[in-house]
Amino acid sequence: MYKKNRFLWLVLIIIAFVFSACQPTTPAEEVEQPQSEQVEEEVVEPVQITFWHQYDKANAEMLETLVSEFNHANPDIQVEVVVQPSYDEYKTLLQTSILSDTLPDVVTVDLIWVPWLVSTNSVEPLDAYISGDSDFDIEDFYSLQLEYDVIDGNRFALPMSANNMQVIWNKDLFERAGMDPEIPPTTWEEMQAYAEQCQDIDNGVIGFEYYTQPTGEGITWQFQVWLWAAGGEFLNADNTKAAFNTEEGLEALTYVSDMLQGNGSIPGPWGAFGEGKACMQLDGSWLFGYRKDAPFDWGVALVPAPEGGVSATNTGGERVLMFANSEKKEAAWKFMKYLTSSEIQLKWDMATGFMPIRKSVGENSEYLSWINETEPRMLPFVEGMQYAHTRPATPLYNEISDAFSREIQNAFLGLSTPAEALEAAEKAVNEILAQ
Amino acid sequence: MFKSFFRKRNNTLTAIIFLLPSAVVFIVFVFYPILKAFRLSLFEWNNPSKEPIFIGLENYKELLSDARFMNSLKVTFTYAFSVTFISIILGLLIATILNNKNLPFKTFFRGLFFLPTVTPTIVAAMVWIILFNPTYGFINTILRNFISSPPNWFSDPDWALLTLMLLGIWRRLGFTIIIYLAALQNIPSEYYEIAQMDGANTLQTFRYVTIPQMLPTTLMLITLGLMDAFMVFDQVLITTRGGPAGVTEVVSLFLYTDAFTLFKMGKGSAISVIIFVIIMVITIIQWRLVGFGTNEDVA
Repeated sequence: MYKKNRFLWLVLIIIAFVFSACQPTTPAEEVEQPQSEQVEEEVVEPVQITFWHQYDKANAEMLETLVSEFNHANPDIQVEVVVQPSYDEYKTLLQTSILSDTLPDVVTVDLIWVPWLVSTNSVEPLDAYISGDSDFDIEDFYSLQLEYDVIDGNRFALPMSANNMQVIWNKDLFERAGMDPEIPPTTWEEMQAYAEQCQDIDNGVIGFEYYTQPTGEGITWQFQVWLWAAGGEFLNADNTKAAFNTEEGLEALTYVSDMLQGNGSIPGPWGAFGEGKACMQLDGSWLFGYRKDAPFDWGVALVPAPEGGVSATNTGGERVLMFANSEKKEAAWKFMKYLTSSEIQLKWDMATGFMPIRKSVGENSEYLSWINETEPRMLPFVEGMQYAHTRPATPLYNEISDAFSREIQNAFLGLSTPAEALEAAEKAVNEILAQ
Repeated sequence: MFKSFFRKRNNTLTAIIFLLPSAVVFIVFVFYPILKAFRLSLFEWNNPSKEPIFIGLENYKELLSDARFMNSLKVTFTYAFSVTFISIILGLLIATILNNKNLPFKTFFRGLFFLPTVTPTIVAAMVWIILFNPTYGFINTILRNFISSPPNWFSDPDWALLTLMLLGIWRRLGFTIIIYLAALQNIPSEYYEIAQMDGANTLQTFRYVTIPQMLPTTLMLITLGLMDAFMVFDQVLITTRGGPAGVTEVVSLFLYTDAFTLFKMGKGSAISVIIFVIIMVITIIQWRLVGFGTNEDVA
């Protein structure tokens, strides 16, 4: 008898457990209704918003500081920061979050993702917020990268940071190779000659560190610099066809691939420069966030130009946007407005080395004197902005970049000739664009 | 009323009730997703906010003519068979040595060989990419004292897969050694005594006593090893991400890239169905050979 009772209890417990797990949570409205009525008499609960970003190291620390200042100044809003440090996994996470309806309220993303995110219908248009907010001046933002944020006449994102890439060189390694540590290369020929002179294979030192792996946007976005410097284009004007399989494209790919066959460089994982094992590399102005305290002396120079050509660079940056399913859009807008305000942007740019996104920062006397007096190594980035190109704003960009990098990599590794690689890349990219 | 009800069906009902929770978990998290993947593999679904479009067997047709997919199958098979068999051969040899009663520091060596197996994959892979970094890595720093240009390891198309296999074997070895050690201790010592009386030397004893006695264990290790190696993913993602030039792009990584990074869920599902079929075929063949999961095996 006693035994049977115990058994019955067990059954009941299991059933209760299964059912409680299946119970839907109480609908949000039911919970919120009584609360909002009591708001006046009880303590105000701050609105919680979740904010994802992909900045790392010192840049992430700075952002953390800015967010806690915001939380402090706005007791009615509480921003929770979640760092998403891996570029590829961040994109995967966003996709699965769209499907499972677990997106955060506000995110910063690589600007190149904005057209793709907008194509998933999950991003909130900002036009109404901007026009309804008298103290928000959209005209103050630089228009260079505008095409990513305004799609079919609606604005979906605000600039959060901007950047471009220039050549950074290790003065200590130059000196050790018997070269003048203060003179960076200015032409492609010089660059290769310097790289060959500076490389020291026996000690694992490479002359110029190219981004060769893994495949993906890292390869594409760094190679585009050389493509544009040679006078080439990536896609045609209306983003419907590949435009890189030309004489200029071949010149750029031949130049890079040749160097990678031991003539100043070898393929390898990114990061040799930071370890003091590469004489030169391309890096963005965000490097001030982590390169300031490098154990070696370094300088920044404009990307060398090919004979008779001009310098070029790739400009990127991050965007801040909110998702359409956020239930706290007012708070989210307030936070976005804070992050992109002149005052915060000035602090942000001076701490991280990101390029100004607002005219009121770029022309600010405090900012200009910081560049000229405290951090003159910023100057090539500022000067390089006039040679900056933008990547095509198409929702298919990620797929194009992935396919392009796979083919180009074959030339980098010496597995196919530059001409073959370009042709294969053209075919792959056009197939994606024909979808 | 309850009493008589329970008395009659006591055993069946108890079994059902105890199996129910795990059955529910299995149905919700395993069987339902498998069926869903089968269905989704007939659709094109490239945008999370749009409805999937039915395209029949188009995904499969495309995959079978996709050089990248075929390459990933080849890489996976090469990896799975090499890692499984090499770790089994080495594992048996090392286990035999460690089983020697006169070996000093036996426990220390056993721990040493088992360490890689209990190290989390992420940690092991991170350590390996630092050790094997072509410029500042420890391995190449040492090697440069002897040869002028040591391999680029994970970054060289000729070496990347080998390096990855080395990592796989290194991690797998501890497991095979432990299993073999347990099995070796089950061989009655009389067998060895009789062999010695018959005048067999060490090699002959190993060949005619140890190896035949290890056969069931070996077959089980092959089954488990192949299944495990076929689904290798995390260590590839961390070390090479399929590169360079696709030489280490195993099929699960191919699936991950296309389904989750490029959001081609239909194609991704078709890949997972193909992997499912391949693993099922391998398993069935092995079930036939080993009788895995039957009573004889347990004994």
